[in-house]
Amino acid sequence: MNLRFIHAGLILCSAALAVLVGLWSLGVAGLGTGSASLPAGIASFAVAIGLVVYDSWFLRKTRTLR
Amino acid sequence: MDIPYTVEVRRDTGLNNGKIGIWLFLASEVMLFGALFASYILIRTGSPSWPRGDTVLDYRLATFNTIVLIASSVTMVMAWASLMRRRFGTFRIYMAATVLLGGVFLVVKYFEYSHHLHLGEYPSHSNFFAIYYTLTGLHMLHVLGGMVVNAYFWGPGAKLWNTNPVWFTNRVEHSGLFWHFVDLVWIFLFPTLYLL
Repeated sequence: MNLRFIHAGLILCSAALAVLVGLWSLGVAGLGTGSASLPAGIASFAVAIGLVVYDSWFLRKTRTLR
Repeated sequence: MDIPYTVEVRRDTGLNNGKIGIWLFLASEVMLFGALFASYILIRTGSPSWPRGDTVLDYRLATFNTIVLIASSVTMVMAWASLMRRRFGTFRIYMAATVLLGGVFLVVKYFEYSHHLHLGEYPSHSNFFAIYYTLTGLHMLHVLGGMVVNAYFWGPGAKLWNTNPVWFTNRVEHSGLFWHFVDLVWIFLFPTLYLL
């Protein structure tokens, strides 16, 4: 297992974290109990999509690195 | 006498010795952090009341630090990829960026700790702060250790590139594996302590 695959796995975990933060932000915003907001939740989901796009780009670009 | 299997792979393991070494080390690190996470769960579930992370900690600073660490994992892998493509100049730029981003993480952490200590929120303040300082403090030491190793490869350790570039590339990959482990620990720490 080389660094390339570990990096791809870490980015996927980061995307999962961004989804979790998005759900948390929407939940807190819905309850009105915290300072997290709807835009922050939406931004988190956008970051998650961006990370998945980066991950697939990275795996394609580094295909020759073994 | 040359050290065996620093570049070539062993037939029995299919890996060079450095990579086996770093994976064994990371396995011991998983046990260390795993034990601390298990302690956290036991203390939290056994406690009659527990504060929600975002009510006592600044999750905005922690979010910023999360972005910083993820960015540093990108620069770290790019440093290794540069060496694989025999671009030493590019490697140095990415490695410097990795060390700097680690420094940014520590500076933010310094301000976070200062704020809590100023408010009298020491580790003895509550179970929450005891486990907060233990987990984040240990993680911070790992970031510092990774920065020292990466700075060495950026500076004096880079001399190996001139004599044995494959060995140097392997060393940077091993350092990158450690750096990614440190990032992964933070990805678990952040929601556990700051959000839930």
